[in-house]
Amino acid sequence: MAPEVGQEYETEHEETPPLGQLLLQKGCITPQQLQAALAFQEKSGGKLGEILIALDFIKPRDLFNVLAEQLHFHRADVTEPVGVEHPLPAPLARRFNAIAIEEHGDTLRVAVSEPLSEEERSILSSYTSKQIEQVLATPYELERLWSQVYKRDLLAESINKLEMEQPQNSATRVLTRNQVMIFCLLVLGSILACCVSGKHYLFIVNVVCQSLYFFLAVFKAMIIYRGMNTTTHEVRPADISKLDEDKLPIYTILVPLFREANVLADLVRHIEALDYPKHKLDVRLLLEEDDTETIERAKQLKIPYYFTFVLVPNSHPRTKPKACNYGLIRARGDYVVIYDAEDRPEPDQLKKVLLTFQQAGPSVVCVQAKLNYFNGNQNLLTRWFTQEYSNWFGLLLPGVMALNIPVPLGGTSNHFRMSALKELNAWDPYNVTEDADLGVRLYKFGYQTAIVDSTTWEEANSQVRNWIRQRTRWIKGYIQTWLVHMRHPVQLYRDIGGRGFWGFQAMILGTPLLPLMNPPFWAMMVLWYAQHQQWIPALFPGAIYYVAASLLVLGNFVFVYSGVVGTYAFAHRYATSNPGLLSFRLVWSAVLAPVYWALMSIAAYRAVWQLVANPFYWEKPNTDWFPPNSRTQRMKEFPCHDATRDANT
Amino acid sequence: MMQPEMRTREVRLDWTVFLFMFCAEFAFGYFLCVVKYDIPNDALSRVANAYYVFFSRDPHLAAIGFVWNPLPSLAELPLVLLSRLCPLLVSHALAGVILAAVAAAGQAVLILRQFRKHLGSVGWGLAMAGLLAIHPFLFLYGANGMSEMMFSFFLVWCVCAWTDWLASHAVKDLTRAGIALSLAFLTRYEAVAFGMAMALAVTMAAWRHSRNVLAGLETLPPGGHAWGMRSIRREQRWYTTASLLVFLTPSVYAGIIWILSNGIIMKDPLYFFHSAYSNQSQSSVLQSTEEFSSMVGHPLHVMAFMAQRLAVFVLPYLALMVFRWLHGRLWTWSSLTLTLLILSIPSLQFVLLLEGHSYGWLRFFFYPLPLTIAWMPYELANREPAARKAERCEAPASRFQRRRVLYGVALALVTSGSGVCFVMDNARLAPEEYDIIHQRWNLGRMETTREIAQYLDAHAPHSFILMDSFSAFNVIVNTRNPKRLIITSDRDFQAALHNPPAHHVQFMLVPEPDTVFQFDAINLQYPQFYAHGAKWATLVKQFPGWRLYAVRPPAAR
Repeated sequence: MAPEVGQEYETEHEETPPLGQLLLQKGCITPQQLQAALAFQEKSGGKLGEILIALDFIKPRDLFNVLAEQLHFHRADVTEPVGVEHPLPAPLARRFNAIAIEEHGDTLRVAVSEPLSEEERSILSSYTSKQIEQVLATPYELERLWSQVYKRDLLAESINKLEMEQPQNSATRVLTRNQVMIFCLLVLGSILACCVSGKHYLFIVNVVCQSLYFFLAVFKAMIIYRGMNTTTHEVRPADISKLDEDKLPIYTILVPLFREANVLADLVRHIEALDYPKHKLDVRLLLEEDDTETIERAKQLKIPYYFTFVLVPNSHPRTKPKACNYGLIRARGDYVVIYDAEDRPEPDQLKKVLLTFQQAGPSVVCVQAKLNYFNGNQNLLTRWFTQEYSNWFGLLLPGVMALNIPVPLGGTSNHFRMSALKELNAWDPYNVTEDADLGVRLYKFGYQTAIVDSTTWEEANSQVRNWIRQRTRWIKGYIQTWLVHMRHPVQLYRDIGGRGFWGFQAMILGTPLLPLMNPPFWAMMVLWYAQHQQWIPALFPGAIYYVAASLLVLGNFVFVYSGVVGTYAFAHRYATSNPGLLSFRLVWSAVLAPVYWALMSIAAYRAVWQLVANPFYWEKPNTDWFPPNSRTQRMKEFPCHDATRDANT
Repeated sequence: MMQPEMRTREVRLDWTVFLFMFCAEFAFGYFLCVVKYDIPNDALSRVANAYYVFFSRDPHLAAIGFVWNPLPSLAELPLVLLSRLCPLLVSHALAGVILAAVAAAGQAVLILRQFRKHLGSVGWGLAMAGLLAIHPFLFLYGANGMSEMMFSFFLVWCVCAWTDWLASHAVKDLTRAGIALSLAFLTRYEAVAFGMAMALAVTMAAWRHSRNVLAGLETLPPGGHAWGMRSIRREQRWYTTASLLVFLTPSVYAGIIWILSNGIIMKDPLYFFHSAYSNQSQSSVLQSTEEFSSMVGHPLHVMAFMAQRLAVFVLPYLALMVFRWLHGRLWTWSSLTLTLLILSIPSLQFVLLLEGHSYGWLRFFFYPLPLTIAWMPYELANREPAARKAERCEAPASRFQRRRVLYGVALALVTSGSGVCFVMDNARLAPEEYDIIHQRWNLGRMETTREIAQYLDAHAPHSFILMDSFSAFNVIVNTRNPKRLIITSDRDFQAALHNPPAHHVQFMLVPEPDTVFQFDAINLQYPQFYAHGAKWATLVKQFPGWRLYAVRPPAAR
């Protein structure tokens, strides 16, 4: 890391007063502000300039003007490079965080936000065979220049890197040629078998499906059982207060935004509420280039200067993982987390995660926070959704973690060690559930995922149509992920071992397969009891009949009842930690879960259809599903305690 | 956090107690059923039900029957499978004996654990579990293969888990209680009464506790988001009903499945309730006896009847209440709750006796005993005053008081054990137990049916013989070739019964239609058959209380 600007000056340029004094002289800050910033620096470390910006005492532009004066530098005064024939190659530029912006004879003007050292300058100079002249640019200016000059490189990296380096793990193609052949063979075989003896064919299909269903259900029940007896990583409040802020690393927060102008203000408030020194936060709002509405709103809002806007160029595929990859390339943090626009992470989450990383050892490179919904009580759908999430993060994932099988990560609030994430080539831009896929790839690399006992509160989809669209995308992604990693099943088995392999099948195949298999079985049951169709019992000989019957009688009960119990446990837990956010009313909706399963089946069949028709279409529900007024209205209906809001006001 | 070696030691002790109890009960059961051949009807009948599932002419799971709760027979299925290796498992109901012994041993371990957990006292745990286990009545029922001990085990488990919940309010305890209740329901119908009392108890406890759980709501800052009193009340209600839901879902589901399977398989959702084999119909025989008919519609007579039988079993409960009174804690919520639980099953008996639908066997009245002992550890738990206040429990404050209660209840338990010996030796108060002790009636009936089986094996080893398993179960389990018997669970039984000659029935075995045997399917279909046979059937052989008729094939007529 480059030497600290202010201090460098204090040691090398004795004749000029220190930055703080200089700013005071110029009237940019008040003595009280300087005192406050110095006190903050005493506690949390960091550079004075960054702290002043983070505390909103000065605008970056003003600070950099004074800094330039202090260092006897020019300020970068261009918005795009002028007359540069050969820009610095991207890797070099990234290494020094410098961009060539002007060329005058044998002098090359390079924009930097941190002065380069003598050695760095000479490397650049020898590479370009020109004199290097540094000009200062604010991070924001630099970012803008960057996206002008290196747009194509950034884009190429964010889209193609995984495919180039790990083609076996990329979902660029849905099916490989072999898979297509197997699929065709299966279809042909089925047609042939149907022609020869439809009855026997159906019989075999039924036996296979029943066995598969039985395996998946038993495995899932086992995971739930383990989940009940596993506690997630508990971090004590005392440990958090003992953390030395001075030693905290830089934390990158990526927030992909798409048509989410309305939630922008809330987002800023919730990130502001995080208990972490702001000058060590590298918040990157990833805006789609053509999403003018959100960009405009962002400009109107007074957004703190430690937020960086990253404009993601419009290109195919237009997915969240691509935006994240794009934003990740220039991220500064040692750790990185993704939040969605409407997320409300609990304020102590980042510190809890850091402690979890410290305590868990180097093989844990990902920490998943729990997700839950703050509008759970809005209607039956959100209640279902909330109880599903409570159980997924409270029972299922801890069980998965305890069994040490691949963890399908949740869409947001997954925290990574930056180095490991980059080693993995981050997210697959072609996968529509990049999170689940990344969980599998982490496992393939021998890394582990932990779950931390901190919740991010999201907004549950409250309309059936939107919910189905969202669920369609998830299920499609799971199928896609399964197809990608099952291109070479034997290889996969060797890579991740028996435990990982079967766990992968249960989590990644089971999640879409169960809702796909349910409707035919339900239909058969209804047909049998309503019409006593005689072909049905022929499909269920002896043992298969008893397996199916026990799944019907016991399996359904186990899953519904574990939902009831899990939801109760969460409502109970949050009653003390977050009073008012989860009502015990949710427990009742868990009893009606089978209706919710039917909705899932609809989404599953849509997903299969879409996978065939339009594999990369990223069906994102409209976040803005409430008219602006109904949002506040809703809050009043279910008076919920908004911890972050209180912390803010 | 508990030391691992301590935990190992505890587990080892639990297993020792379990194995010791099991061996003692099994040895006694073996003596009763094999040596003395004195097998209770219901015990053998339940094993037989499991036997039909695998070994009848038409093996299928539904052959297990839809009148009596299915769990005991279901649990006996694996043992019955082994009957090829050890025929005694079925013919002498040893499968039932094993199940009862496991339940008795399990109950002892539950009580030991509960005392250790709440009182921290292994000594008292062993003493109480031991005293309860050697209580003559419970020891007998832990050995004779009846379903009572299994039921008692589930009730004790339910009370233990529930009192754990009262102390911890952790959902896992409430879940355990709920599952135990559902298993109890699948074992005996009395669980319905017990479940209703428990549901009331859970409701009261949850409502009273809800303010503690939801205390956070009251501390929310004032302003737009603050919770008003009304919304807190509403959330209290949600908490209470949600607790009830967690507790009752397994049982309600078990009930629904039971009714549905009755509806689907027997074509009558309430088949178990009002079919010819149900308690409802069997008990109608009682109207002819003076003692029972005098109780119908006379609550005072019923009370007197019940008091004589309940007295020995409520002694520990009464002792507990006396101490509560002495310690000034009689008029409390927990007294009310405990009383509710103790009275639940007797209340059901009260109603049934009043309507003439119960035989009023002594075994219907012993449940207050294990329930009181299961409750005690919670009652005496050594809690900090603050925890006591938070739980709103009213445990005795001093060590001296606790000691006094423990000795008092132990004494009551011993008294109950001695007293029950006199009751069991009284043919009027305890006809079943009296019969076991003196071997008067049942033994003869069992021997007769076994002789019938031997006769059939000798004289008609391959003939198709129709009989109702309701009355002839002992014949079925003793014959060498059960595959040729046409029995009630066979799907063509009704057709064969309506027209035996056409269905190649060669013989029909019918009991004398006195008392409950009037509900034998053959007697119901042909009321005069036992006395006079039929045009198409001739008497072949007469046994005490049984007749074997040969059916003439259609061509011969």
